[in-house]
Amino acid sequence: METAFCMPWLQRRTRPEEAWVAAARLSEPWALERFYTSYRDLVYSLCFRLTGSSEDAEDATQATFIRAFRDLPRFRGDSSLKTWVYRIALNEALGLRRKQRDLLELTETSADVGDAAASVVEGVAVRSALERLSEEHRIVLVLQFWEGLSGPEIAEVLGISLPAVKMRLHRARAEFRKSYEGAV
Amino acid sequence: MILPFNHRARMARRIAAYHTGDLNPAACEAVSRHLAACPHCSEELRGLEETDRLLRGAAPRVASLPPDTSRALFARALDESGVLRRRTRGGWQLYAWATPAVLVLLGGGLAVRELCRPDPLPAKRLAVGTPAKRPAPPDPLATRTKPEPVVRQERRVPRLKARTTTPARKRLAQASAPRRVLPRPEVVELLPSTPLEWIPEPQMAPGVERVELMADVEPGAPVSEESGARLARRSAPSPVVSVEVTMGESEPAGTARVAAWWREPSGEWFWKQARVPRDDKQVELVLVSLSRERIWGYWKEETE
Repeated sequence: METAFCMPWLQRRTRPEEAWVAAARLSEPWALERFYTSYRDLVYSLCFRLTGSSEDAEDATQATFIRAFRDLPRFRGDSSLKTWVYRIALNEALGLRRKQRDLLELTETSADVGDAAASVVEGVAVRSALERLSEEHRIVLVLQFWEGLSGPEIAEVLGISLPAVKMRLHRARAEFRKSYEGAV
Repeated sequence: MILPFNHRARMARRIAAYHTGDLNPAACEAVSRHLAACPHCSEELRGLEETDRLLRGAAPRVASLPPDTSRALFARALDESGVLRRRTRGGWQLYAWATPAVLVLLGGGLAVRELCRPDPLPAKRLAVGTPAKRPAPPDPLATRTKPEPVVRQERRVPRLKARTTTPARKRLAQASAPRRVLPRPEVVELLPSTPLEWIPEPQMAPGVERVELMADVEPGAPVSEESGARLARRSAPSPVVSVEVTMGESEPAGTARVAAWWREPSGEWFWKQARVPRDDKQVELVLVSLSRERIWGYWKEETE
């Protein structure tokens, strides 16, 4: 008896994005990998910026994809896949951060190390000021200025209306200015 | 000029909207004119611009995940999410649970239907029975005692024959027949003495990011085209995009050659092959290799 699965190099075709998204919802392993490679950097970046350490960011990234792989079959496409993933990553990173709040320490840099370090000092001061903000204001600023999300995207990620996003951004800016100017 | 608090707050919101471009052209023009004349509001606008500059400039630089870490994260996420196990269950174990339930429901439904159906057989059978053997009606006691076993005997045989030939009875009989339960697939490890080979695969076209491979099963092979396609598309784990199994004269008795293809992050195509044990009852390879260190074969017993 001979049974051969002839892997046909002749019959192959590239897959458009819609196909892999649909296949990922069916938990096709190759599509899950495509999903992972498409959003890995975005998720890791957000987790790193919210948790402040690469180890925590890796943990949060892994937790994000575990949950995403499980929930993909229930993803109905009401929002974009990107904002859906962001929402999961945000929740996972914040959950981890709440657990490990004590571990987050920002590096203090001395101010007399020359002009080249001025931007570093400024960066540290800004991040310190951000850390003192309320969580909802810090998140909306991170999403807007560090992750580069648009207003409608932030609204989808946070599950609030666009006017509410604008109002929250306005208040977050004001709170940040107070915090930053107080620190400087 | 000292402005009332409400007016200042309202102007601050308008300037913020002006700053983010959310005003209509007319309002924008009005705020521009106001800014030219009001140093306080100009200062407010400069503060907003400075805030944005500070925030954008302080974005931490995030290095990409190292390739090894990235692959490990993906493998762990895939493993811990359980989607592959769920897929395997969905493939046949789910049917193993669902089939008895469906059959029981079907059988029960048919049984109830049969019981509720008015049975025209008694009158008909009595009519075709032999009248000479029937008791005479004048004695009521005789009709109750003596002839009754004879009439039952006459009725029982044709009635059973008639019912077993109905399609509903057939389905009921099939449903109540003992079922063959599929065994759980076992992981068959590689023969320890078999060396693994890593050979660059030159036939794959460079630049093809992802390919969909259609399984093509030989005519007459016991594996259906659907199961072959399922093998290639669904069962192959994520780094593996293609699987080939060869069993036959070219292979030693009791073994099958399994090869899996994948693409490394460097863009190079690789394939890895090994021999796995088999026997003649096992005809379908379901899964090959998640780990690149080993090739695993899941074997499913042939069913009728």
